[in-house]
Amino acid sequence: MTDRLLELEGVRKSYRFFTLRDIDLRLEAGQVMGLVGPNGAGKSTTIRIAMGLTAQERGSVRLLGRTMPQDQAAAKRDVAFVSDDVGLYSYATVGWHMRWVASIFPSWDARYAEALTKRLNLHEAQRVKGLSRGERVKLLLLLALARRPRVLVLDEPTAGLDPVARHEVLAELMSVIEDERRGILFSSHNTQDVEQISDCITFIDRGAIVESSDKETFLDRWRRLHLVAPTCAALPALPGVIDSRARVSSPSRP
Amino acid sequence: MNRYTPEVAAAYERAGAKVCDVQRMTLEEIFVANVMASRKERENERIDR
Repeated sequence: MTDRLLELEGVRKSYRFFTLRDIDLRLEAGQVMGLVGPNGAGKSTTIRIAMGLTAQERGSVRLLGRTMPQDQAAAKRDVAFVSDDVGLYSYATVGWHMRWVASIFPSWDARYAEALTKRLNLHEAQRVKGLSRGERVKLLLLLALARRPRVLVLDEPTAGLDPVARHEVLAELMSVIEDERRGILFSSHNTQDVEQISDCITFIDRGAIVESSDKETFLDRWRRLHLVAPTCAALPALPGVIDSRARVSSPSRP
Repeated sequence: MNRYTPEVAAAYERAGAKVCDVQRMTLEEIFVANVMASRKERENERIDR
């Protein structure tokens, strides 16, 4: 039996110039799902609805078996969210943030937090206002991971990070999933990151899911075909062909 | 194309085309292909209107 961590069914949300429609999405325990799509595709809106931060107009959202957004307080005890939206106090230190989160969440793992601080090259005495963007992301990740949440939701976690910081963040995410009771949903338009750590890919564009499947199936369905067709050949119109620029061979002369 | 099976190449060959190569695509290439196709579709819709 699968352990479903998150389920969105028929979710819809309209704004003046954008509609998110018919979103069906499932995250099982042990999965890393990469939500991919261009800017403005609906990735962040989907994540905000999943987290109960925005209410859907239609459809249902269940996070760890709880109905969202109504039961979000209970659901979020075991869910962590990393995004630019999550505020940090500029004048407080890394250590202050760690103690603050530890005081709220009984699941806080102090030894793991300490190990993460070292691995991510952060220092407890550092003030947030002196941190680079990459260090802020790493702090947010530390605060999320040390809670040992069952579901980790990340909105563009590697945007704007240098390659080393990206590598560190992705390595930590990979280590989280070694515990098969956990799951990660993360959005990105960095396809390399998604390809590297996801085992499930959902492609979203213009407010709708274009494709959603396990990574191997997703990548295996796509092929680039190089064809040379004689001018007289009428190529069959096959389903799934999204661009047909066939090179036409010159007619041979005797 | 996003629904590839070996039968696809065979169908093109039966129609007289020569299939020179069948390559796997990276996620980056799939991403770009999808978005470009979506833009083209939107452009066609605009023209039809």
